[in-house]
Amino acid sequence: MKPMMALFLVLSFSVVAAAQTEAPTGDRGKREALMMGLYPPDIIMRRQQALGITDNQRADILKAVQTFQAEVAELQWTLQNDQQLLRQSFAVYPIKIADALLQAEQVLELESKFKLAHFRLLIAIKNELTEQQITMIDEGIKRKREKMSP
Amino acid sequence: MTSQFDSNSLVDKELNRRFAMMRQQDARHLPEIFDAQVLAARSPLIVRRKSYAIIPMTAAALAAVIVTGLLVSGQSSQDPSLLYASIMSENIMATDQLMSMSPGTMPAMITTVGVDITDAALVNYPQLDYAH
Repeated sequence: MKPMMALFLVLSFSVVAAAQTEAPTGDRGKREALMMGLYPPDIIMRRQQALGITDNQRADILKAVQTFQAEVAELQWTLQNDQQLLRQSFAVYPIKIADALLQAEQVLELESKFKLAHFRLLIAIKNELTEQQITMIDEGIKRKREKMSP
Repeated sequence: MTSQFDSNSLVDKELNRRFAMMRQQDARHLPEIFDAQVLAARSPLIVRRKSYAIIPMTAAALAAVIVTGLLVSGQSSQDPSLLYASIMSENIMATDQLMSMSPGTMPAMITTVGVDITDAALVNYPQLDYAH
């Protein structure tokens, strides 16, 4: 019975892991990155054939994303907990100003760390690309804007 | 007297031999009568060997190795975009939305540099959607 339970747990874990990798990214974040002249990895990988992304570039981009993942993994738990505490501090009336602001400061600090790690990733990805590839991406964005403008 | 006794003894022996032979023949043709004591003395038809217990354990271990192998091989050839998507979706910035502004409230602000563009704005201004 125990081996069957172990098998069930292993299979359940793999299903959950597979489901997690299919979570979508918000378009909002992608737009913001593109407006800043940075390129999220999903946009590059979606056009990797057209851009001529090499195996080395792909491996380096993956490595950069994995480094980003490791950086934010520690932040994640604390951030979610602090965000919850911040919401709780706003839920009371009257709000305890000092406590709420202190909590907000903690959340902002953690979010800032996350965003800094995100910037580090996006910079590493852009530096991984060749000038020619960057030109191709920029031209593609420009064409898209022209096509969409009335 | 002695010879008669001997002959009787020989007859008895012969009879015993014949009866024994007949019992053997009968035993061959008779169906087996199950006797609990006899059956208990015999080894069971399905032998419970220690090696049989290894089968489900081996199957579970094999499955675990396969799943782990798939996960590990999946990680090595993992799609950076999928990994990125999962990280970004798991970490939501609570304060980002606070700076958003509806274009319906202040339409002129939509083209102002530094002002965030909400998703609602893209319905009216699709040219701002650079993500696709």
